[in-house]
Amino acid sequence: MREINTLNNNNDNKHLIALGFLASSIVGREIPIRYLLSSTQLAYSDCRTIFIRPNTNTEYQRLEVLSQALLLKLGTLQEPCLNKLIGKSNVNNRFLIIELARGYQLFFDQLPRILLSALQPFVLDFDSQSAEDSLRIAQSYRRIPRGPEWLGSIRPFKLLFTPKTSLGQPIDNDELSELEKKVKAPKNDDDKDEEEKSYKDKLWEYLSSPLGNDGMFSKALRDLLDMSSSPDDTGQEGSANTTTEQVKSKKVQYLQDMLSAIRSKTNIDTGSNDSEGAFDAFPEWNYKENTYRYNWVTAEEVEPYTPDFLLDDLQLERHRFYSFYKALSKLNFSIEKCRGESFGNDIDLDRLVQFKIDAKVGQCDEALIYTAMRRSGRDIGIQILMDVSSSTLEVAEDDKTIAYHHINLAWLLCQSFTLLGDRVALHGFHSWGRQLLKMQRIKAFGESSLAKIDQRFRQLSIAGYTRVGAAIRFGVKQLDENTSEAKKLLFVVSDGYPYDDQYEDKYALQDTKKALEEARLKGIACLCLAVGSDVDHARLREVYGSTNFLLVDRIEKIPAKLPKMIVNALRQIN
Amino acid sequence: MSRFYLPLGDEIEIFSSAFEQKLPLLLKGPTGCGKTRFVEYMAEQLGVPLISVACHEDLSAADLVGRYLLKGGDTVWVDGPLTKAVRQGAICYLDEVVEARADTTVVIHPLSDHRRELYIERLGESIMAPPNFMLVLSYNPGYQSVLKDLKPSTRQRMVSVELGYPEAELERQILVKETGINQDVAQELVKFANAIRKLDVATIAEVASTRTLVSASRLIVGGLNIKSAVWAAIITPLSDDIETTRNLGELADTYLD
Repeated sequence: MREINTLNNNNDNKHLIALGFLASSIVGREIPIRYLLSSTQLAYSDCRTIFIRPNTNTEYQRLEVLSQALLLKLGTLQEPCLNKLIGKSNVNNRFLIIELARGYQLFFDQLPRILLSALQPFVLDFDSQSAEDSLRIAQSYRRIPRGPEWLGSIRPFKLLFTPKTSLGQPIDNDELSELEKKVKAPKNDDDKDEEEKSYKDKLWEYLSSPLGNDGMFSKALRDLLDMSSSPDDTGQEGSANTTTEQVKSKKVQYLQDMLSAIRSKTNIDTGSNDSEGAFDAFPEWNYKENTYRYNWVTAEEVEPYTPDFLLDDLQLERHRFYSFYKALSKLNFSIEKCRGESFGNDIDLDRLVQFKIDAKVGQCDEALIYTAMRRSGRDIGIQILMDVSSSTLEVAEDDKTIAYHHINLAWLLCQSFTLLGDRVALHGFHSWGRQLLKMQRIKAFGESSLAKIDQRFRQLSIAGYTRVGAAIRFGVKQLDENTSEAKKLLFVVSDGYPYDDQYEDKYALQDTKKALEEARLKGIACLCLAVGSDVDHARLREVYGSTNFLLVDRIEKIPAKLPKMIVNALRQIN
Repeated sequence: MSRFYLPLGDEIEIFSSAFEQKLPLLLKGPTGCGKTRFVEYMAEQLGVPLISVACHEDLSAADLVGRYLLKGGDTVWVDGPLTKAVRQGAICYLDEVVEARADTTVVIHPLSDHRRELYIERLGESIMAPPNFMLVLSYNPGYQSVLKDLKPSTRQRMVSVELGYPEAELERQILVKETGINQDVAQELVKFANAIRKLDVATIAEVASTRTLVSASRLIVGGLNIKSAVWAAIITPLSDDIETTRNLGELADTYLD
């Protein structure tokens, strides 16, 4: 079920943003507020967003936001014991009240008075120390007052299943091994025997369980097992076939990653379609018909939020920072007025007087009395796009995942440029088909604090596919709207394999190329950086041009080469 | 009347000990958390004069040490604040030190290690610091474009104390003691400030500091109504973005209802 903004006028949006401030002031991270579609439902939250009723007055809406925010602050909505509430609306309501009472006592000195006084009538001393305690009390025969509607509701089913995984039932070990074996050795179309067919049917049964709606994982599996390919690679020869092979092996890799994730009991983000409502639509280039497909891709900018990060061992390589910082500090483009120069365009009167005095007391230094116009300012706006599709979970030669390298490289770039005073934005992108391109915002242009970046990296979701063209168009739009700098740079940190649903091979490459062309027309220089990827040079050269990509096996090789590349890329624009 | 300062941790002990051991001190902390007040308080407690210098990007070594000035047709040497502090044995407090030009570190370094010596190039003179001289630097790590970060070599000469905003209860006491504001109103103000500190919003560069809370309390004690005081002292200074201030206003409505 999908909630949308029913009243889409401007005032209403402002109202929701103000309520978002309120929620954020309690939870401590960005919480968007949206309206429920149906007026019969009660307010709830899916951990990312708070949904409230559109048809009550502001006072109640505030209380709805506050009580859901309190649940988020308590961590109630992430408790595994919520599964005991499924289908038991009575216990659910009682549990909600007890949890809110627990929050009331725990955070008494932090919550606004309107919430405290509104909650007061329901706050008995339940003596609950944890969500489990609350659940036990809720299941007991204890009398608990009925709460008003603004307390909202908890939707355990939604919380436990939709955002994390669409795989409905736990898969047992045998099934898993069998699945792994299959994925490792995909068979050719020709030898489909009965056994395989029955196996496939079994798999389908499993994947199309009530909870496993037609997710991309299932789709990828179907693609792989049937080896069905998109219309684009019919009748292609030679090199095209090898790329198809490459893409196929990527698909296999994707599935293997998924399976190893299931093995390690990691929650997999399969890209839930539950949206926060703010979408951008981008065109895509169809090289076959030589036309754009307008409004073809829908992109959504989201705050990174996965409770379980896939790379627990993420360690930012902070010691590399100075080499990046030093290399990038050499880039100076604009002209600035410098004082205290030994020769220049104008005389600095203050310094001249001081110089005269020094001369008089017999201490004659160099006459640094001029002001000069020097090329020293930077004035660059930078957007970094980081590929966080599941293919980056592949392990590079140095036993670290490509995602690890991507995160480190993006962090180093972002940190260096920001500290050099440039305006930087950083997004991680991945997609599940053309309707679900997610841009995870790690740093926005206006943000000055670098402290949040670490945390957002840790909450990054790494999954899905790579629809590079649309991501680039998103980056171009960001640079266009948010920067007024003279120079604009777009970095794509990617493993170089664009692949998504109906986005493969030549189609993907041509679209990426077209997106880069659009960027250049808007005066934005684009660079692609790949670390540890096994992609071939020819492929990157075809898309990015001979000088605008850098493929290295180790991050430390980048600082030496990057400044020159940037200067080159910017020169191509001018 | 002596100044009021409520310690957040062991900063008073560290300061006193550093003073006795003749070690320089580096104070870190966000805007308006009480760094300057702390130094003033300590100077008073230790009975040592305090010379403060607000550093800015044009502040050079000569501004600190001193320079020759023209007087009539003659030149006269005038001591800078740092030289004055060394000569008379005072605490020299360089506020927001990273803002100063890089050449200032040249004079700070020999003063801040075992040498404790100020060399005045122009006079060809070297002054040994008396026991009462202490160098205190302050800096706000989240605030500067860290292009001007402190050099590691400067940092490592310092004993450092990190100050933050006080806990809710302490902050309430500070407001009450400092301004005489009503306890309950103080509590609501502190709640509101903590709400702003938790906000995850890109358009606010800083958060509501203890200083802004004190200002708001002053206005309230002076007779202004709570909402106007909060608008004037907390919300409007935080952001120039109309949308943001409006949303903060709504937040204030909720917290200070």
